[in-house]
Amino acid sequence: MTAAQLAIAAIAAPPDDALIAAARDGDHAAYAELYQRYAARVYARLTHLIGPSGDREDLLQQVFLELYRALPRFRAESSIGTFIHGIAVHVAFDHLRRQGRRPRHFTAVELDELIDSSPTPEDCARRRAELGQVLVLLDRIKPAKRIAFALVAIAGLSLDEAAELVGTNPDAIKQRVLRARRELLDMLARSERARRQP
Amino acid sequence: MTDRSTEEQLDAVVAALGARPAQLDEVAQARVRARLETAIVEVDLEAVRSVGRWRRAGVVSGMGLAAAAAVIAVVVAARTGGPATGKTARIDAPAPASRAATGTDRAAGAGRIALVAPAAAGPAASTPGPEDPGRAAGSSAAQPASPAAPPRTAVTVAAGESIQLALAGAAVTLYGPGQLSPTPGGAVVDAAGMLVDRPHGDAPWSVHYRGTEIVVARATFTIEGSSQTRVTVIRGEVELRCPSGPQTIRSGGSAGCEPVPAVRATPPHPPLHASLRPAPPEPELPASERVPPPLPPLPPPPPPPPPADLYATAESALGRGDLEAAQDALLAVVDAAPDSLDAAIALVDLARLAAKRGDTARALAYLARLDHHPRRAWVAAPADLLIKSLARGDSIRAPAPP
Repeated sequence: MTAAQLAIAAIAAPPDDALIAAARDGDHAAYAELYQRYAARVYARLTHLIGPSGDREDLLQQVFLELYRALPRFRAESSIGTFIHGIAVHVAFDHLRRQGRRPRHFTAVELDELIDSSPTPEDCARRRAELGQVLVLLDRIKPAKRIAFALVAIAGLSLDEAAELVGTNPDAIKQRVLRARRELLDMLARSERARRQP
Repeated sequence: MTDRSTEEQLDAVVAALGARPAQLDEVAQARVRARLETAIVEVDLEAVRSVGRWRRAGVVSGMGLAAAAAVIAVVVAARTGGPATGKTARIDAPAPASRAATGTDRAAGAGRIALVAPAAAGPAASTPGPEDPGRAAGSSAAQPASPAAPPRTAVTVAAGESIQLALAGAAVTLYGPGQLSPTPGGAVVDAAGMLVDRPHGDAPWSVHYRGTEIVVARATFTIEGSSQTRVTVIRGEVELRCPSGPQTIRSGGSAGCEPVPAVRATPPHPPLHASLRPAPPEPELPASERVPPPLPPLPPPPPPPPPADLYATAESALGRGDLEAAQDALLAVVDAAPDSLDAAIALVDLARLAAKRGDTARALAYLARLDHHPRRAWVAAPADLLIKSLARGDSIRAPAPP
């Protein structure tokens, strides 16, 4: 599709407000259109929050199911995108809390999803190992701190944006990010020392 | 402690995580969408069901509030001698000196009330106090002021009207035409319908309705007596004692007894065997204070035909296009074996018939009865489809004839 075609498609597409209003009135097609627009972004956000887990599809479904239930309450005080991502954050938080802080082990296929194609197999294996190690350590951090760290350090949101999604103030987010980073570094250092010991 | 290389390693990994967002491929997106659509249908169905539940709960609470308002109105009227709010009610009381016996009065929220005292009534006792828990609305005459004494007058309701009463902690709405005679342990009723809301009370309280006894401690239930007695429990549980045997109906359930001839709520003749025993000495009560005893049980009716035969009757009626006969036969199937698979199927068919007539509320009521049906799983798919169609406002076809 050319840039012109994309521009025409964007102009022809109904705005989010119209889709929300139609979905509220029971128009399932409008809701499906909302899903098409935001599913990929929510999926990426869930990956930031919980890692390349196989549970993401279930959580994606849950996010949009919660959105369907919550649409009558949506007052357009924020954008629908922020509203959806806020739901995603809460769904991910509940998931992490249910799962507990037991470290999961990701498969190579799951990890490769997040790794650039590297020039050499050795380089690829090294990156895969580093990524797997950090993801395992992330599982040991409390969900609230992990969510804040994922939103700010991984997804690159500002403290204000992350606070809006989580439903707290920026200072609290900042504290959680710093503590999460400190815990990760401590765990990495301990892991490195253990690896170097004979 | 951390060193520089550790921090660099963490930052590199974190940067890589953020730099390469995970891709949701089209197959996965479509897969989630399909599951989502199924889940959304379930959400819609649950919403439709909850609307039905709230509607029923709203009716009950509205009736309860109306009953409370009626009691307050009567108490105010009795104390002040002024009119209470509500429709004009006719009170036929025997006492010549009572204000309530003088003619037209306003009482009790709604409905035409006629207080029919037993014959040969003596002089009216003092006006009962408001603390009497068993007073019927409008029964402000011909009974002594005793906190524990139940009212001893009958209440009649004209056709098409209703009245709210307070009896032994129960808010009772009586739909006319009909009559209610309070008894020490309950009431004898013959009316078009009745709604009872008894949120408190541990002592059993019984309603004798056209040869059926309904025993309740704490429950909300309705009695319909159009073609046959049917009891539907909205909250709590009641025991339905039919001539054919007792059965317990729990919240959300409904059951009926076989049709019997209408019985007036006036005191019946004593049973024959009572004359064979020496009667215990009893103080002679004035006729106005005599309490009608419970109605004697009727002889057991002949056993109904099996549900399969009844269902065959319904199917043949559907084949003829006789929807009324089909409905009667389907109701008979439900009554004959309420927990059977035939009854579950019949409820779906009854809902379809009601929906075809445009009576969505009745259709939903039939479907709601399936919620607690032991064979719900067998008819879940057509029931859910029907609920979905009702929610969309689709035109409904009658059940297919065989």
